[in-house]
Amino acid sequence: MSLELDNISLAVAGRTLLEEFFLTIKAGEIVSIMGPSGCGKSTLLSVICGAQSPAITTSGNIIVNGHNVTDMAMEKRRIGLLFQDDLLFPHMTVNGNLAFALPAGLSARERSYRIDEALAAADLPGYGNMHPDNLSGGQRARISLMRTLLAEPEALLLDEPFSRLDAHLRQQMRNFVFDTVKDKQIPALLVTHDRQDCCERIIELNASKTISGDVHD
Amino acid sequence: MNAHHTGRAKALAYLIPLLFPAIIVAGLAGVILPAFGWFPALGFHSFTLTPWQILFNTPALMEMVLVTMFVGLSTTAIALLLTLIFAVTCWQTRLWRITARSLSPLLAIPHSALAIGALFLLAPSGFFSRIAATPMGWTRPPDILSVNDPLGLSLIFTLVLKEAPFLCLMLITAVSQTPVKRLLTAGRALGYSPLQCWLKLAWPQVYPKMRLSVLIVMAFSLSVVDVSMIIGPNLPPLLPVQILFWQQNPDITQHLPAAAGALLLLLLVIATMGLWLLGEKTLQFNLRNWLTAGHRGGQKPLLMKCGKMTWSGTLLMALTALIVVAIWTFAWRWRFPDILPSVWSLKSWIRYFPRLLDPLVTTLIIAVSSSVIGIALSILCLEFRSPEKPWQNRAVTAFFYLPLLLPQMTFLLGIQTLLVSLHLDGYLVTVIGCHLLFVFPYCYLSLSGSWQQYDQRYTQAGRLLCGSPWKTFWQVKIPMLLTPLLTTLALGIAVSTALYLPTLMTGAGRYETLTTEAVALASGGNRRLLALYALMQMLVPMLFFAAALLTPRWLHIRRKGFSLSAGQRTSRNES
Repeated sequence: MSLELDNISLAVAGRTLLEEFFLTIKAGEIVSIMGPSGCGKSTLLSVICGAQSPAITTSGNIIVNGHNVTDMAMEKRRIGLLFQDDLLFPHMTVNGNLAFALPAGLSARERSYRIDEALAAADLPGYGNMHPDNLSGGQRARISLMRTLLAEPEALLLDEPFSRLDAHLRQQMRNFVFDTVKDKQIPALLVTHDRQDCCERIIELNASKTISGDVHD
Repeated sequence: MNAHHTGRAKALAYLIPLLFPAIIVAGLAGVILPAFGWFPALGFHSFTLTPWQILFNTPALMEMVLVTMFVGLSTTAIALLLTLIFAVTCWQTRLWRITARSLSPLLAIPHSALAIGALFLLAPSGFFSRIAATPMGWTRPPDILSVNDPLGLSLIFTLVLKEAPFLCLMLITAVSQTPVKRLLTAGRALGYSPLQCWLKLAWPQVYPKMRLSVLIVMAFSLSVVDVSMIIGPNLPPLLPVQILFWQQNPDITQHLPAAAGALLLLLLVIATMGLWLLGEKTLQFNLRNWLTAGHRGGQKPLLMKCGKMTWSGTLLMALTALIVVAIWTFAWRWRFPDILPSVWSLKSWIRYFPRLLDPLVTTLIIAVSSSVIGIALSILCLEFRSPEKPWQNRAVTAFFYLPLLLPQMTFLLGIQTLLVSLHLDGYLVTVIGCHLLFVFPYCYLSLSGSWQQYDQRYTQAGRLLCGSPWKTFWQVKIPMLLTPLLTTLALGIAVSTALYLPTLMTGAGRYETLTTEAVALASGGNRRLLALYALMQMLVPMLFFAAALLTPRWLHIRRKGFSLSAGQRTSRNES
């Protein structure tokens, strides 16, 4: 699996945010994007997943696992998205939230098996019948990630997923997400403000200039 | 203001919200006792079940009850379905913005005025027949029961035209309190189509916020009188209309079955609401698996297009009804099957306008008085009640919904019984007081948001500068909240202008308003006069809304002009 951004340019109301941007993320690799507010980090994510507003003009190609998805509707791109807040659906139980992400046509046994597996991976076995309101922030964040992964995405976008967590939980969740991404061999793009969140490769965006490099301790 | 006055005002602020449900409870008591034969003012001093026997012996009572229930349930279901269609197909489109802008003027129009418009559309010689006449080869109005139909279909059509926009307004408010955009993004990132995302993710979260409004629509549709008297059904009438006939019967013994009927109507409303809530639960239970079965669904562009057309059609029909009313006021010769009048004239205005003046003045006196009192009481409540106690505010808000959730006919009949017993019926003050019962909740709910958003630091600054709480209140707070105050005044006037039963029942038939006259004229054949009344009914609230919109702008321009000329003066002095 891979995620490729081929010659991407972004502009909002005539203001160029990004120009001739190239990036390839390999399976299991996590690339971090950093930069000041308004430099276009989140806009880039919205363009990749296909949720950009009509006010944004774009050019270039988005290639997921060898398929050009640029002109596809958001729901057809098979790109998972993890938000700042977990966005668990409050009218469904944890089981319901996880089942929502599973593909149609699976047998009841298979669905149940996959949900149990996801709960075990999130270290939350037995929490299936609980409502999201009864979970802690960290538990919700883990369920949210498992829900995203159950949809079997071919690439993962992480939009500051740790920013609302406290320091201890942040470290825990970071390890959980990074390990899961590596384990599932999904290419992931992480937008963050915090250098501690960054992994192998960092791209710093700054007013249409992009600098890429490696993480320095 | 000294502490003594503040204490009194505070006590009043807590008392007023309790007074309103107390009146309604007294109204309910006033209907329960006569329903069981006890009505001393009319000479009935013993408890008996005779009123119920008379009620149950009424011919076609079962039909009345069933048709009333059918109208209530169908109107609510169709209006809600149209709202869902609007949400799913128009979200983040131009039509959403157009609808949001056009809802307030549409909602300001009284139900009876829209019903007259619908009558002009649906009647055998109405606008729809005229459009169909050429392709169908009709030279005379067709012999069809397009209004006053026994199933109340024309009534459902009319109520839907008014209630669907109301539910849409509630939807827009609910959507603004729900992260719909993010939910849809989350759903689409999991592979679901926008349609499925709306149905499975957004609607289940938006609907609970609208549930109370849906129940209000249901209560209104089950107990509607004025619209039903204009557009039917007639044979048999709806239960609330039959109750009114009994109540207005010169034979005073008929007042007792009227009370029993009003109680039956209350039970019908409670039962229908219970049925609706049970239906909701059943649907929720049965759709559990569908929700998480993983069916992503396709784009369905044709379905989306049809949805948009359905919603546009609803708005267009409401607009057409209003336009046809306006046309009738200028039509001198409009023969069937002409689509437009062949002779236009101001004769109707010249001939009938003097006749309208008395009802217009009465309408304005009642509407302005009740709205001004409603605003004053709302300000009192909002100024002196503690904002730190949200449970109190929630309880007060719940009390205010009471007159909207109960059938008007039931508690108004009880209030009338009490007024008759106390010899207080038939006074203008009584009518204004009864209107206040409906106007005040709207005034309070409309003002509370702006009052809470007001930055108290302006008041603190004002008090530090001038030292007077009164002066600060009148010269700082009120001018800053002028726009919501004027909008609330217009809203109160719109609510009062539309009221039919409260005027009729507490005024003892002595006060003719535009609405009571329009309903009375609906059964007659003079369309020009009827149209004129309907148009005036629409114009009164609309003019006040326009004033509410334009006055702050005009004041702003005037202030700008003033400061500019002051600035020019300064620069001249300096030079």
